[in-house]
Amino acid sequence: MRAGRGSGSGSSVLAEAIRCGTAPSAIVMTSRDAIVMTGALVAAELYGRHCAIMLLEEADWVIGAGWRMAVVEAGEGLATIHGKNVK
Amino acid sequence: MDRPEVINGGDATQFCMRLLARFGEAVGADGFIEIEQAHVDGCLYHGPVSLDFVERLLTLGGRVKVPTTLNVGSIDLIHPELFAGGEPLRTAGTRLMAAHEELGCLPTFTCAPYQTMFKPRFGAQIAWGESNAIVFANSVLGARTNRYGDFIDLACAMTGLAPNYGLHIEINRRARILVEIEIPDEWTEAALAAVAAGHAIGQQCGDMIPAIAGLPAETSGDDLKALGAVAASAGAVAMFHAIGLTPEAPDRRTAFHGEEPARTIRIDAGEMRGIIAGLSTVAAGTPISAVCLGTPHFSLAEFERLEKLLDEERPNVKIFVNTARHVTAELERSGRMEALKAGGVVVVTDTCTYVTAILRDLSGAVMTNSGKWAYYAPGNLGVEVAFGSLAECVASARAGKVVRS
Repeated sequence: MRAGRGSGSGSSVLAEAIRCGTAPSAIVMTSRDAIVMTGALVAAELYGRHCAIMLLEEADWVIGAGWRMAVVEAGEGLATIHGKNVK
Repeated sequence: MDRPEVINGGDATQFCMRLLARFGEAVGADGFIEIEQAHVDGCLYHGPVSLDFVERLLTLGGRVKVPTTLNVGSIDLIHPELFAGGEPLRTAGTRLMAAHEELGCLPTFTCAPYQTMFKPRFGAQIAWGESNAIVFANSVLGARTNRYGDFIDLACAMTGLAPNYGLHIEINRRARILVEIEIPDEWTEAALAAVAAGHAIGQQCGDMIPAIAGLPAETSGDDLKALGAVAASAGAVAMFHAIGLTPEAPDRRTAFHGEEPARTIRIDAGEMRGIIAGLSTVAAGTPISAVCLGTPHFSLAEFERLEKLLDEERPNVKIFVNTARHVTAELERSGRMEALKAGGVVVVTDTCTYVTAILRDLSGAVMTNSGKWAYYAPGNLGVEVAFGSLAECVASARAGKVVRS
């Protein structure tokens, strides 16, 4: 998704999903979203479970949105995303 | 961005500072400022993570660094028999409220901390959660906060700091959109105009600060409370100006810091009527199973207005009123609680009827005078809703169905 919707309880919802294992492996956005980032950070701190939050330029995001599958490799600061089975 | 040295930090404070530093980067803050107080919306149980976060801070020996009030919880701790949800939620919800108290938070359990003795002064830098409270603090009190959400509000309380961005900064508090309202002739009270204006700015202004022109001089603090509550529900509003009424808008020029509005929106009487009509999902004459008032929490002044409308005859349907425990205590102390109960009123404390299971009979529609309750309850509770004035709500409780004046 490009951006979040701004609801303050979004952080709890995401953190809870990461705790349960029902969250996505990565969330790829075009703008910084403090609420999404907070949810991911809290889950990482409390449970050691990670959901990579990636920021892409609009043009790259559009390309990525067209992929059927993607592989994300994420380290501390940098992540890369590759398309698989690109249409 | 520099991370400030936190003196006598302790592990819990360091934990919160890590979170706050990353958050600050994400929102483009240029540093941190000290806050005078905080309001934390962490007592609603969203799942185990809600409790795990607070328990971790307690394990690390944490305490809040500034006076910190608490928002509503999932349980009315004063009348626990009202809770109609399951045992796991009762246990977890109760523990969550208690854990926050162990961190040193004040057990206010209200969405209207601005009605307590902890209401902030004009210009105070604060970190508040709860959307209606944020709007009221900024707009009606002239205090300064952003829309702080889960975890971050508590992290600010634990460090005594907030990231320096957004509405903490003077120039960001300028009005950008002029909203001119025309009030229908038949609306004799300011209450309906306030809800209609609030709904309109929530829907139309995005995150640009509006200045509303046209609200009558007799618009009260409770009316502005209702305006802000529905605006914050219907949109991303964190602050509004009401020209001639709110402290940073004595006149139009001051509200706009001398600049011209980027946009002007006019809402005529027909549209105002349409907004109010649109808050109901059912028509007049529909049977109702309850009336719900006090979203945000009823003030003592609002209880006075309600008391004047009640008479000796107990209505067919119950009138639930959400309020804060300091108001409940005053009603008990003054003897007014007995008369309210005899009049069919059920006072709900520490929580709210749209966030937790209090209403047992959801068979009919529910009537409310709260734009915020009307907005959330259909989705949260699956009920039909009728919106009306306070007088219409009481008349409808007597009739057992929606009546319009």
